Amino acid sequence: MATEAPSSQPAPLLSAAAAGDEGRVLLDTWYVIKPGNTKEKVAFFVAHQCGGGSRASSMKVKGHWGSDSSKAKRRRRCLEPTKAPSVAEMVALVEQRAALALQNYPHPGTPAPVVFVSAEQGGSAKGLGSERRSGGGDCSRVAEAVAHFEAQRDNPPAKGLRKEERPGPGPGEDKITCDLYQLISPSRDALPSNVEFLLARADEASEGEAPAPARPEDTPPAPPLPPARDCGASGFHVDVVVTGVVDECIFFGKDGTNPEEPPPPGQLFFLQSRGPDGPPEPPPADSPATAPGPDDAEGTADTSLCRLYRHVSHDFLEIRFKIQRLLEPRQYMLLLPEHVLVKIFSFLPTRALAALKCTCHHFKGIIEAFGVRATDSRWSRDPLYRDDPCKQCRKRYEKGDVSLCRWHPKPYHHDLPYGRSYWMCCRRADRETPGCRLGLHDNNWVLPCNGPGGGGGRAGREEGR
Amino acid sequence: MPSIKLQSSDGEIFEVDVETAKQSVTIRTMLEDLGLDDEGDDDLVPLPNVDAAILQKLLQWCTHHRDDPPPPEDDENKGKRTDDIPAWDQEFLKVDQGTLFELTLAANYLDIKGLLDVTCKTVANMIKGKTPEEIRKTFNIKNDFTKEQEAQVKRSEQWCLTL
Repeated sequence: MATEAPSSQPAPLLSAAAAGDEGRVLLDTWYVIKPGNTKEKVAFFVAHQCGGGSRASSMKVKGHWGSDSSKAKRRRRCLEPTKAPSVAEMVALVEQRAALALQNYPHPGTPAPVVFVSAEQGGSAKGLGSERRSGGGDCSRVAEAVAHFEAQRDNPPAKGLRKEERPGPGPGEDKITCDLYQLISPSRDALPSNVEFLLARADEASEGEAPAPARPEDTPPAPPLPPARDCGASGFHVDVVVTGVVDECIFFGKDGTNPEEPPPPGQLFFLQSRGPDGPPEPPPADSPATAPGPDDAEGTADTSLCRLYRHVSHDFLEIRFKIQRLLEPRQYMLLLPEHVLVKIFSFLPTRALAALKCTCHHFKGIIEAFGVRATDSRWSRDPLYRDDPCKQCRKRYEKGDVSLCRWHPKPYHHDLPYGRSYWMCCRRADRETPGCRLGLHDNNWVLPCNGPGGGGGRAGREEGR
Repeated sequence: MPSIKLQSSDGEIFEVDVETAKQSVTIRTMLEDLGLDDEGDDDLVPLPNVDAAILQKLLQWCTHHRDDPPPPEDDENKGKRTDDIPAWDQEFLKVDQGTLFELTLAANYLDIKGLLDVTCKTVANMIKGKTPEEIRKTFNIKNDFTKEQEAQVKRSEQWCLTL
C-alpha cells in the first residue's frame, strides 16, 4: 500500500490505524496520496479496505490532471456523468464527511471539520499562502482555495505549479495535484491534539496572508465563483488535511446535472443547499462556507457519483482481486479434515511431529487433542507401564507428547568438601544444565531398549539417576 | 460387465464398470442402498464433491488397482511405514499439491482406503526431515505463534537441539 508521510510535516501524532467498531474506521495515519494512476488505485484500495469491504463506499483521491490528459478527455470527464470527480470535488467530499464525523466531538470549537489546504502557487497566489513545505504554508478551506484559484484563472498565474518539475504554467497546461492527509485521532472525547497543532500552525502561517480559517466559524466569505469552465486543469496543488473520524468514505456527487454543461466547480464545494435533484447551489457571498449539516450526508446526490465512480475503478479492483486470489498460494493442509490430518501425522516419526508442533497452532492442537503417537515412539502403551516415567529424564507421558528427550547419561559428580562438582558425561558444572544427550523418551523399564538413549532397562535406570 | 455412470460436480459423466467403482465404499453403499447395482446402467450417481479432473484421476487409480486384495485394517501396534508406496502409485502421485490434496479429499469422501493411504503417506513423506520453517514454506502455512510462544514450544519439544 503506498503510504508515505509528508516530508515537511512533523509526524509526532501518528499511530497505527485501528478499526473502530460499528464499521467506522479510525485513521490515525498520514496518507500522502500522490497523484498518479497507480497510487490512485492504491488509495482507492485503502479506502475500500477501510470501508469494510463495501465497494459502494470507497474513496479515491485523484488529483493529477497532467498534461498527458488532453483537454478533450478532461472535458469528457466532466460532461459524462460516469467519469470520476475532480480533485477538488473529492476533497470537498472528504471535508463534508469529516464535518459530519466531527459533529460528535464534544469539543466546543469543532462543529465542523477543519480542512487545511496549502496551495503552492508562488508569489502571485493570493490568499493561499506560501509553500507548504517551506513551513509557511497558509491554510484555507479547500472550497475557497480552489474557488479562489479558479477565479485567478482570469489572470493567468505567474506560478501556479508545485515545487516539483513543472513547465511554465499556461492555461490548460498546469496541473492540479492534491495531497490528502487524513489526520484522525482515535480519541473521540476531545478534539484531536493534532488538529490543535494544525490550527496553531495555520494561525502562524496566516499572518499577513490571505485569510486562513482555522475554524469553521471563522471562515471568511467564499470568494466569488469563477465562470463556468471545462474541467481543465490549472496549476494548483492542494494539500488537504481532514480531521475527525471517518465513518465511511462516500462520494460527493451531483446528480441530475445537465450532462451537456460542465458544472461550475465552485458550486460543488457548497453542499448545504444540495438537493436530491440538482447540483448544489452556491451560498450567498457573505455566508461562511461551512460544511453541511449532519443530515446531508449520504444523500441521493452522493449515490449517483458513488455509482458512477464505482463504474470507473470497480472492474480493475475486481479483476485484480481475482488474480490475487488465483496467485495466492493455498493452504491445502489446513483444508483437510482433522481425521485425515491425524492419519497423515500417524505416519511420522517423533522429530517430524515435533517440527509439526512448532509449525502452527492448528497442528499443535491436533497432535495434542488426538494424542498422535510417533511411529518411533517408545512410550509404552501397556496399561501396566504407560504411567511409568521416562527412565532417562523422569518425565511422564502426556497425551500428544512428541517431545524429544534430553538427559545426562552419566551421573553428577560431587567432590566435597572442595566443591568441585560436574556432570560426568559433559563435564558441565551446573547441575541444572539441560541434558547433553538427545533422543526419544523411553519408559520401558522392564523391556530392553535399543537404539539411541541407552541399553537395557537396568543400565537406563542408572544413567538416568 | 455392468457399468455405472458417475457424474462429477461440474456435470461431466464417467462410465466405469461397477467392480471398479465399488472400490469406493461410498459408491458401493450407495448402489446397495438404492438397489442400483442390480439394475441397468442408465442410473447416474452424482458426486457433488468431486470435480471432473479429480474424478478422472481417481478412476484411473481405481482401474489400475481393481484386482488388488482388500487393504488390511489399520493396526495401531503395527509399525507404519511410508517407504512401501508402489512405484506406479509414486508416479501417479507426482502431481501438484492442489491435485494431491484434492485426491486425498476425494479418496476420503468416496472412502477408498487404498488411495487414501498412499496419498497420506505421500504427504507424510513431504513432511519428514523438514524443519518447522520448511514445513511452513512447503505447505504455505502461516506461523501464528508469537515469538514467545514459538520459543516455548520449541523448548518443550526440545526442538532447538535438532537443528
